[in-house]
Amino acid sequence: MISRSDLGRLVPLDGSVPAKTFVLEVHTEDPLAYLSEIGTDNVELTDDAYLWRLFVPDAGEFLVDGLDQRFWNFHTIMPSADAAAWLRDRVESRRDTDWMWLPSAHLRHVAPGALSHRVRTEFDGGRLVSSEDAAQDLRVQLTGSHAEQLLDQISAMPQYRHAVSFHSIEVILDDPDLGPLREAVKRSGLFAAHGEDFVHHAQFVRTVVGRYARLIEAIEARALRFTPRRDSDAMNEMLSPDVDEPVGASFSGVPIGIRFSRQIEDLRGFCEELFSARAPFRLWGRPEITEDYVVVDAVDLHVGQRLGIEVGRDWMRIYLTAGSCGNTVARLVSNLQIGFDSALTLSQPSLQEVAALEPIAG
Amino acid sequence: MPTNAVLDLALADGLNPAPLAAAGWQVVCLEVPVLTELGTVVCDVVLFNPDIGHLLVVEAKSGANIEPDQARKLAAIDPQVLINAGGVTVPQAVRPRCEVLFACLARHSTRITQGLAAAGLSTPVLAVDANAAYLVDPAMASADLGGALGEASAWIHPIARIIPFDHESPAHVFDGPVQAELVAAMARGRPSVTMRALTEQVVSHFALYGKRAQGQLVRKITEATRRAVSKEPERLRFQAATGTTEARVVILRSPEQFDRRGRTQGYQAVFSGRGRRRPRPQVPGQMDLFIELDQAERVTTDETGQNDSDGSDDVRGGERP
Repeated sequence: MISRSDLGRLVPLDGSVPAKTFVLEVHTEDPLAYLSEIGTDNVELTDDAYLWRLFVPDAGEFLVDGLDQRFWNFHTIMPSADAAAWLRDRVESRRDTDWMWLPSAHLRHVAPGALSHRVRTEFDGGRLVSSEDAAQDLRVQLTGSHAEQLLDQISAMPQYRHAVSFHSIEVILDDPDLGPLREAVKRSGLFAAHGEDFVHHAQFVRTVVGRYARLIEAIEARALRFTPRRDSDAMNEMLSPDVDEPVGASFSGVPIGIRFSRQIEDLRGFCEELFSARAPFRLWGRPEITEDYVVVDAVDLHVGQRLGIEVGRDWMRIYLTAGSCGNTVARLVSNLQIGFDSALTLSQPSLQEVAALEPIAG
Repeated sequence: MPTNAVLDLALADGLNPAPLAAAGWQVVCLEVPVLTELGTVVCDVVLFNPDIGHLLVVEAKSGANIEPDQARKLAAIDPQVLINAGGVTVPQAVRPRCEVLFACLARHSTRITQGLAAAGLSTPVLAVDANAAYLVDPAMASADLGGALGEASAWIHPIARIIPFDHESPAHVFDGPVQAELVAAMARGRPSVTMRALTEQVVSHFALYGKRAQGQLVRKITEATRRAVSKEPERLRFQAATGTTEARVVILRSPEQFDRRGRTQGYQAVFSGRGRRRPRPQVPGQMDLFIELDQAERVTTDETGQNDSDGSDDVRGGERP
């Protein structure tokens, strides 16, 4: 059996094809059963309790690292298209599995201090932006040292600042101890790497995932939670026919606010599209629309969870309830950045701080 | 509205002003029964400011009248009893104190203020309307509370709907949430949901209420479910309670049974009032001609075998359709 130290040999960074790591958000209590289910029993244990080999017939294998019990790494040297298609089928058919949904700023500042070699932005406002808008669809790919600087220039132009949404970035890292590494990262949590040391790549992935996990945890910490004040025995007593007194509940949480940098001109059309059940939002809802305000009991079809949403001309409020997945909000934010306003901000400063990473000084 | 207004003033979501949060108050519990020398009273909302040990007990009134006995009980609350009843954590060694605040609709504030005066109470009153929240007479409030709410708080956005409905809300209010929860159940592939479970899912604040109010909520959710079933008889069936089983809604057909494209169209049709959602009309001349160019380029590249396999191009492979 293999162990963690074999990862560098099985997923070589210096091979003829780049090593890939897909990061998936997985909710399971039984990792092996989960893997056996998605991998139709083509799973092999290793010496490491959190590392498995998952074989894809006629295509190759994934080395699955579940050390972070929520964000799993699927390492592979399979062709990207094959690996992505195989994982996409699992993600789309399950309620317990999702991609990462990196906010634009997490890509923009993916490796503070590193040389960004190539960047790509994709803004596709075809469904949510008016055809009269200055930028309905804006895609830029630039290769060169500090490639992000052109995008900063475009962002500085008021009519385009909402349309610069980072989709992928490639950076070159050169660590005196870990060696050189070229890393490309896509907003859905796909990493492609070429270099010398797998450990360097793994640590880079961990850094990006760690930042994203902090955002998800910060979102979930704001979920509205009503916790009964009495224990179960007292609850039973409360539920007896003679008693009709509230038990009281402790309360925590706060709605999550989004501020847009631009106005929603056609609020009805915007909401009909947003809650149409279509990808990428996959939100279902029957919005109650007044002139400047929309209320909707929406359903995140990806996870099958209801969430309340309000929309105004330049803001949105999301009510996440206890037990809901923070990825729901991250997916909404990431897709709004791609499809409506890349310059949106989260209205709570402490939440915005973890969503919009600023470069580390020095 | 008054309960949600007080919660909004105390929850710093960054949209509406939150002067109570800015001054250090936190919402700690709701609907807490507290024993006083005059009998038990239920506190609608309890906030705590740990820096100054100030407990703010809010009585939210939708109507124009107060109950004098209830108001006197609220005024008699011992802060130490409230701390235990509400499970309030006191992180600093400060002497706790308690203040009562009545929150009401602005159009009823005169009647509420008069009612409190008639009961011999000098309790501050927070008036709320769609534009702002303000203390009717700031002089009635403590210096700390007056400092926080001394000026009117104008709503920049609609008041947050933390408690979107309760057991006294009109029946139609429950239709939207029930329909959404049934769609969520379809997405999760659940075969059926009992009325009790559905109620607890729809009413996330169900734990707040006593048995009678909970029973009212279950009844209203059940009625809303029956209306939902009548709209979607091919997808849903209501199954009444029997001697051994609870009333439940059975999901007969879910869009999850379809392939990807059919699934989206299936969800669009649920509770739409029409068989199938019309696709967005395409404006003539908006056909994406670049796609044709991209497709031609891809074929050309494949034929010449020039597969670019460097890092960032490889990333393209993970694109979702």
